[in-house]
Amino acid sequence: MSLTQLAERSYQVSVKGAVNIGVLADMQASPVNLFRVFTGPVLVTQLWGRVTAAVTNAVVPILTFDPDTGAAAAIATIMLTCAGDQPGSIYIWDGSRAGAAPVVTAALGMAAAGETTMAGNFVILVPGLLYYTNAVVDTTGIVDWYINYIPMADGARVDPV
Amino acid sequence: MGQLNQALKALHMNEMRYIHRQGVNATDLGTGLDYNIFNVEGDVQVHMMFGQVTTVIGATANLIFLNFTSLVPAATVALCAVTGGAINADAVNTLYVWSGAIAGALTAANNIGHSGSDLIPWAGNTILLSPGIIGVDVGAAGANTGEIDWYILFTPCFPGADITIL
Repeated sequence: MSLTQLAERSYQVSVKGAVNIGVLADMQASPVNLFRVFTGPVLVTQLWGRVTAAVTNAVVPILTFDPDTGAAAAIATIMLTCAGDQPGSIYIWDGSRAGAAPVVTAALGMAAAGETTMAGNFVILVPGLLYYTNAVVDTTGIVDWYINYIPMADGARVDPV
Repeated sequence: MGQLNQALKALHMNEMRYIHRQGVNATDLGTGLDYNIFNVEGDVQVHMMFGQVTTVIGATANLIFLNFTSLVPAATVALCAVTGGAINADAVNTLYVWSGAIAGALTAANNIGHSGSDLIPWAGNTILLSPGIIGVDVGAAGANTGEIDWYILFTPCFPGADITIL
């Protein structure tokens, strides 16, 4: 078997994760950058935020993806106000664009009526920047954001920004 | 090398794997003929498969879909329906997403695995493929320019099973 043939064999992969640790300055401006996809496509298996300091104002984020080549587009509808959300609240993206925005839940990742899940198994992201815009600033809230993904090319990865 | 490779695969047989086939215009769309992309060597469970435009597609109005030619029986079947529209002029980062359903179309999406309105989901949990060849049917429109990279995520079902690039 040649070196080229070896290089063209398949690669084992597993679900990887990245965390963007929130800081107080995040929600005082817009946009708020979360993650950058590098090198090649990834399959997103889950994306969520967790409040670590209570939000005061009526913050209404819109998750958006800006590919390195191509136009930026919202990947979810606008969230309901985050005003009053306490530490431990979780914002869960269901993986759909036209459907529900990231849904705020209690600490278990469940809405009042049940678990909030990804609508599909995977969402493909090509290299680019994942961020949210925010029409209302806030000076007290902090949210950590998490992403789980499967890299689909040699060197493909997601880093917090 | 062969035995060592086999032994390594046996140790990790239950791990998911991906393989990335880079597009080659001269032998892919450039011929105007259907072309093969992956060789399935042993039974595998497919979790996801998609194409990504890496060089803008030319003016030929190809209608593409994926097919599978099994070794036994030696027959070719469609893995999905044709794209909803011709791929001519599709931009870089256009994704062609297979839903995992034969009845579903290979769907074009921009940048994020979403169509204009929403997510293109994977319809099945996994798709079982026996040994054979996965190919791209480019229709009868003829030769074109542009390049598509193809990706597949799968789990081998037993030691030695794998998918390789064609």
